[in-house]
Amino acid sequence: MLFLKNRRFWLSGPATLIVSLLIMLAMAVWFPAGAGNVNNIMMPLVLFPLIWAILFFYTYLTTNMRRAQWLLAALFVSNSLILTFQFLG
Amino acid sequence: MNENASTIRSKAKALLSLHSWSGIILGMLLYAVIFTGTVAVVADEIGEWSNSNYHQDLLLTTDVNDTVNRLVARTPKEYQEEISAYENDRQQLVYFFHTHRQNPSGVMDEFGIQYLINAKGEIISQQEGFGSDIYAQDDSYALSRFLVAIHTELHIPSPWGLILTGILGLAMLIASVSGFMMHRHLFTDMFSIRTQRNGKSLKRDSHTVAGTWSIPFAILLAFTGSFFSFATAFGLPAMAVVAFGGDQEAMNHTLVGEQQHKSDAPMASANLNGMISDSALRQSSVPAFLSISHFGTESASLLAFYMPNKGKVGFEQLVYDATNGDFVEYKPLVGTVPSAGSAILSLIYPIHFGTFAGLFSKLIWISLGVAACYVTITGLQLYAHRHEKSETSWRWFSRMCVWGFVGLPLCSLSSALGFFVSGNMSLNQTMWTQLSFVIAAIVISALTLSIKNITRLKMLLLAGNGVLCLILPFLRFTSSGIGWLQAIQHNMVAMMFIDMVLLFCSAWCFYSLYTSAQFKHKSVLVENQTLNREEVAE
Repeated sequence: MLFLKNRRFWLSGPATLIVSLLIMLAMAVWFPAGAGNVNNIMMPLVLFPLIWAILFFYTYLTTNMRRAQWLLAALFVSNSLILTFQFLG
Repeated sequence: MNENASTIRSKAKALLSLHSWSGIILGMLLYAVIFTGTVAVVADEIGEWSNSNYHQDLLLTTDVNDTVNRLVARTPKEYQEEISAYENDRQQLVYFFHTHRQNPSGVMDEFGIQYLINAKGEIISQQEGFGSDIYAQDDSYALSRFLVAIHTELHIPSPWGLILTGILGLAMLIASVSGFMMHRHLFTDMFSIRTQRNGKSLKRDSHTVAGTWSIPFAILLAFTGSFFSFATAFGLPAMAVVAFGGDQEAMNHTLVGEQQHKSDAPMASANLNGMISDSALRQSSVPAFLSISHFGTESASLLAFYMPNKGKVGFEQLVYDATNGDFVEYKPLVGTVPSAGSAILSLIYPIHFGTFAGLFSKLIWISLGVAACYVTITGLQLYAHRHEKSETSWRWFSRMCVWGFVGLPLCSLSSALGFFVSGNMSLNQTMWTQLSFVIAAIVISALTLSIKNITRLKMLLLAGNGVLCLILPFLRFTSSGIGWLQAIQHNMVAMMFIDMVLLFCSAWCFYSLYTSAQFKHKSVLVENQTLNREEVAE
């Protein structure tokens, strides 16, 4: 259970997953729907594994943990704000 | 410079650790998904093989218009909202008159009456209920459906099974991308297999070579597979919450690309046979299924769905105005007009299942699937080899590898055995296909726990696989009476293909047993000679 004390585990694991999910959901709001009115639904779903994989490998391999933390925090806040405006605005 | 080299080394080490752990933790489940996925590539062929069926193109050769009109007269109005029609694997046409309702699980589902119609247009049976329930009890698809469900959901209740297979897809993505990033000599690694002193190839090299060749394939399949799982499990409902305020029906209408409110004013529909023939002419093929909406009203339409054919990668959907029979459009897979989302979606299915060039592309997909299985097997065996030093101990990990790797194919073959035997005895094939798998799993688990010698256990399970692969084509023949001569006459490619694959697998199993026995015999001889020399020396 040593990995639970590892900061990288929390960053690459749960944090990356939550941020990827938030990006996917927020994309439904800001991604252009296109003429077919479906791109904002299909593209986030298709891109979710890709977004997750990019964030995962970045946070897992980076030597600058602080930068990775700030990046995830920024993505978390910005996408949460978009979703908040969508539901409350 | 030194700092740079040490960073590269530490990254390589981190990648190796990631590659190993992603494989070890989920390796056995990943193998189950990859193996059944390889089988699922030929799910349609297995469906036809298990019923010794050949398609009679009943949607073109029978009077669909007459049948629909006869069935409309005896079906409640509420179920006439939509009619789907397709030819099943028992040379019958399935007509499902339905509306849309939430099923007991809270998911939007089709609800109505399903009619089975034979080639003469006679009703064989009718059944009322939710589409998902009726399909789940359909014996004609019992075997292919069961094997595909292992791949998609591991038979774990929804949505957890889908979430698990989605996670396995991501694990496969990690293993394949980290495997790719680890290689310093990618092209050399694709061809170099060194041999050990005993002439056997080095397991690590075999793992690397098979892995390197299947990396692009593994990345593609992991990516598309996790999309399918996550999109179905929570992606689409979550999108409905964000983009449609939770209205799943509104989202479905947007994705399907139809108006929410249609006129129900009565109006005679045009002859359906003309529209079906026209679509077949345009596509030079036979529709896989039809969807007739609001038949007998002002909003009547017909959609003919075609599988990819002749140089095309994606599906085709042709829409007709059923009030006058005019061709309206080639409809995108989602939405009303062509879009990037629709184009990507129409590519994902053929890429994942290898359906884009018929049996040829499926053969390539099967080969790559087998390579991916081999990579998973050798990866876990490498771990077992490195961490289980003692040859005499119980060797749990190696034992589990044999149980899973050789046991799963045997369980799958047993489910096919159960399908045929229950069919011959007029029992419930859906139930017995599942039960046979479970019984085989229990027997294999008991053998794994009771046979101490792992090599003997492996040989026994391999022999079981070989025997079942040999028996199944004969069992299929005895249950249907359709042999290869008849198959050639009727161009039953799918059936002959699966028969041949089984016979090939059987031959491979027995050859492996033979080579193992030879190797064992040689080892004993060498051991005896060494002992003799030692005795002489003494």
